[in-house]
Amino acid sequence: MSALEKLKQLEPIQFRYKKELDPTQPLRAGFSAQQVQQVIPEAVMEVDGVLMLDMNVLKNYLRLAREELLENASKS
Amino acid sequence: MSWDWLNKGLGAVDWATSGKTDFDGKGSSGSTWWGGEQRDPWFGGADKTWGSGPDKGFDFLDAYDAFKGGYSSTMGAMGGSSPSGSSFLNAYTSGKGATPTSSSPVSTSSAFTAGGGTHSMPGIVIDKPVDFYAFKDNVQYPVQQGGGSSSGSKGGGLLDTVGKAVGIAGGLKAAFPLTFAGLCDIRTKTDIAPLITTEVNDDLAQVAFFVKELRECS
Repeated sequence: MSALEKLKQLEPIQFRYKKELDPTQPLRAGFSAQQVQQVIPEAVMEVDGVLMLDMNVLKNYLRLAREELLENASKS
Repeated sequence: MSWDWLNKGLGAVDWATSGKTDFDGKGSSGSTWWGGEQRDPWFGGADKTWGSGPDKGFDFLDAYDAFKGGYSSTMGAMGGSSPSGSSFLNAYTSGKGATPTSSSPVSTSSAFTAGGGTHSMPGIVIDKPVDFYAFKDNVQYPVQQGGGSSSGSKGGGLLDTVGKAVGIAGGLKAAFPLTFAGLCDIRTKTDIAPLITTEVNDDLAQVAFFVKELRECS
């Protein structure tokens, strides 16, 4: 499956961090690491039982997706 | 991936201008306005080629999407309409940055930056580019180091707080460059819903809106 197709399977969410993490609790945009793990396992790290998103891996997927988009655009 | 949606959208613009424009590239003539055959690049013929002329800093699609009420002015405390995120995809695929520069709650147009130089159209302000932080290469994300030992949780700070938020007694222990942007464990979040808007325009939000638009365009 291509990077573009994988990115499409991610489910963007809006959320607030729990109050003990972020007292002001602004509404944020992002992903659930658990959901990302099902699609792009290498983009998720587990640290002492907590799932973390590796932004560098995600950036690589964005770069590949951009190349696909440009390639598709040049064909059309 | 089908790009038919794009051609349909561009064709709709052509229709709206009563054939005075030809954004979908289906015009009868093969000439380009900067080649000398088209005297009036804006309204003079049937085959303009927007965005690929001498001034490549301006992309009509960027401006058009922003004008239609793109993501920018709905970020933050604006509420109301949902961000389309279209400026993300256009700017990203064209290798340019686009970011909100204004957030007037009553304006129907969105001020944003795209491309190079300063441009203007009715209802739209195009200024100097500001690249997406998340899409830059070699970005060094701010990090907070983990404890580095089994007693790392004694250090307090974000590690301890995350541990408590997800219900891990004693907090995190591993030596790990903890980034707030990467803190995506569902157990650290509350009020979770499909993405519509955000009050924080950070790098993760930019990626999320980009993916949202990818999903909506496919």
